[in-house]
Amino acid sequence: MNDFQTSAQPQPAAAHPAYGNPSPAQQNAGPVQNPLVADTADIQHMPRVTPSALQARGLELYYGKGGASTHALRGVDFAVGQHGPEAVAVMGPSGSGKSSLLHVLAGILTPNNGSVMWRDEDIAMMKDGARTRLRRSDFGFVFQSGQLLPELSAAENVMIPMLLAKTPRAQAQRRAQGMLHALGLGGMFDKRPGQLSGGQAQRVAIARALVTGPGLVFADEPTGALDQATGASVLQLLTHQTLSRGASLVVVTHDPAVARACTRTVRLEDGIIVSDARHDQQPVGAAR
Amino acid sequence: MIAVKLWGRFLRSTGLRATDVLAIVAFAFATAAALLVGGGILAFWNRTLADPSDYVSNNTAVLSLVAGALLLPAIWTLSQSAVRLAITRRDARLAALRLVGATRGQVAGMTVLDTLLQTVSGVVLGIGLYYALVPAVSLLPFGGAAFAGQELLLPIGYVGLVVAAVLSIALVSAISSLVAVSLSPLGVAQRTKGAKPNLIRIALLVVVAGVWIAVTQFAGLVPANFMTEQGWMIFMLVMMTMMGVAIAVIGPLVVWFIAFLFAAGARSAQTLIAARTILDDPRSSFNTVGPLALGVMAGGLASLASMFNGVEDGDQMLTDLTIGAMLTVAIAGVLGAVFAGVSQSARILDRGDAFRSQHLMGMETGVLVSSTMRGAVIPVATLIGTSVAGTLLLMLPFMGFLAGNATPVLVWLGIVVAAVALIMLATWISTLLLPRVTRVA
Ligand SMILES: Nc1ncnc2c1ncn2[C@@H]1O[C@H](COP(=O)(O)OP(=O)(O)OP(=O)(O)O)[C@@H](O)[C@H]1O
Ligand SMILES: [Mg+2]
Repeated sequence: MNDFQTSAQPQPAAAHPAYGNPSPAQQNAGPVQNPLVADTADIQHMPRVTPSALQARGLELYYGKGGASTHALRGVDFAVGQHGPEAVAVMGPSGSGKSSLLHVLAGILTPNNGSVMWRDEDIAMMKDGARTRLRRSDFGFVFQSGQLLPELSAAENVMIPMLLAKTPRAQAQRRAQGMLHALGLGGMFDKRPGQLSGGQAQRVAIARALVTGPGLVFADEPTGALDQATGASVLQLLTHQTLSRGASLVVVTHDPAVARACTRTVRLEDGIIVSDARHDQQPVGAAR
Repeated sequence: MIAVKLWGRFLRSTGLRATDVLAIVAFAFATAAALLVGGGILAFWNRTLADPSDYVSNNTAVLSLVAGALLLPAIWTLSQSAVRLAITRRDARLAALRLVGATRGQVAGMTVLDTLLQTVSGVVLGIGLYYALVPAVSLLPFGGAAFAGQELLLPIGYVGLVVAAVLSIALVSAISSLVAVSLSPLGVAQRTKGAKPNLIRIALLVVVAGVWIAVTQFAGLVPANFMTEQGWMIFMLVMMTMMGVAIAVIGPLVVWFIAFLFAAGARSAQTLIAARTILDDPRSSFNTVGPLALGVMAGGLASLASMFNGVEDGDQMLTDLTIGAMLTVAIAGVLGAVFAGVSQSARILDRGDAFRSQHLMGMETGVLVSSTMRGAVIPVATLIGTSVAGTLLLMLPFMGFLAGNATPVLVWLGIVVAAVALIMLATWISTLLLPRVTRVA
């Protein structure tokens, strides 16, 4: 098996400019500053995956049935990655449907109506098992907290998605360590989540999300449990590492600073997208 | 009395939670086992007291104490896990109560009431279970004659004593854990780590050995000729005590070491997670199989002993010995299965959020199921496998004799297989909780 191409569905080479050679579309997307690109580019174990686009149309989602049901998404159209890797912040008041949207886009929840096209397939129409495998092979996830198994070491947590994909252990271990190294956790391979600080744990989570070379990374309040400075550096890593690997990022957040660190901000209110704007990516923490 | 009102309202709003059921089941089996073992010991001693000169029934009575000592750790572990379940898994609701302004005293009062309710429910069920089991157990022929049902029934006073003991264990644990745990509004953080070493178990076995020696001394039964049944029994007891001490001390270490090897060599996520989970708490794994492993060895030796049948007066005793040992293995198996089911279910509920995240990130629920099953198979296969293999090895020199009368050994093996199957079944039942904790919406 190819060490670097871990995508479940190999795409035609032409559609996949290798990392380090941003497509013209990406260059047009805005002045993306990636000061670390040069050093991470030669990290040997880094998987490279080409940008992929996800396109959702007419999403409707209800929780519950009958009179007591909640209409969480009311006809959402949303696309990400059409023009190369981008980082989209999803903002909006509490209860506006941000997490619901993320879950539907990622194939965690099936919408009551609408389609989610990803690599020529409608995720909304897929069976449970296929969606679960797709989440593992094509997407990465970063949650607020609690996504690491407490009994496993940092490196083992990062190895899990590769072991699930039947990657030989030695290879999985090598890649996990390389990824942790790239995220500044070189000395932390054997530490367990309980022995890590909140920021370190989130960096392990980022390593786990990126190690399989996902086409798209979903993050739900990834810095919600961190203090501001730590949150800023974690976010910096998340956006930079994701974009520089050619993947796009969808991040749900309440924090305007997080949104500024992205290349685009989508606002949700009452299950409807009320605004969608591309903007320059500001270095995290610059506002302070 | 505000605590009582609050508690009543809470009970109505939350209903019976899965952990309540688990705690009640654990209390019920611990109580039933305690009553059954107590009843058995009492019955043997009553027979002995009726005819003090009958050394067969004398020895059987002593052996019943040994069996009791073998089972006591299992009963103790089970009731401890029940108490822990009854207390720990109420963090969320207790913390919520503190947040809305309930006083520390009210929260403590509710905890005690809750624990009491679960213990009492469990104990009542356990007493029912005990009375239901006595007719079955009394079918076993001991001392040449099956016990009359009444013989095995503990007098009401003793039942009350056992019930009081279980209740006070629960209450003392509940109260002491409330003292140890700070009931802050941010949650009841319960640490279950740092379990004591097996000193209690070792002490118990030493005490039993001491009691046996004392009893035989006072009864003037010290054997004149060593290779009589007396000598055989001393040999057995010493062997069993030594094995017991050895297993209690090195058992968790062995479990740890095996799990370490599995973790190092794991090629699948299932095995890696299973092994790491055992490494995280080898004592819990050991508690599932330790008493059974001991019982398996004792049972094996007893079935070996029965090949000496043919010695005039010893026949009956050896038969009793065999039946008693089988019964001990069976009870240890049932207790181990209940403990496995209860502790695995508690773990799944405890780890619910982490498992759910794993599922969201693309881990099939089936992977979590098979990793839970492997977590049970690894210690069972290694410890029980070693006990069986070791005992069979001891039997090897006597294979010639055994060929003539293999039934006891076969029965023994059959019971061991059944006990292991029961543990796996209980573990599998606990995995039925997994789809529930990983469900998204
Ligand atoms: N599992 C569920 N069952 C029933 N209703 C739900 C469920 N999850 C969310 N909802 C409802 O759907 C709506 C949208 O919820 P969602 O979690 O997507 O909001 P959100 O924007 O992520 O909010 P927050 O910022 O607080 O996380 C809310 O009204 C919420 O109450
Ligand atoms: Mg949310």
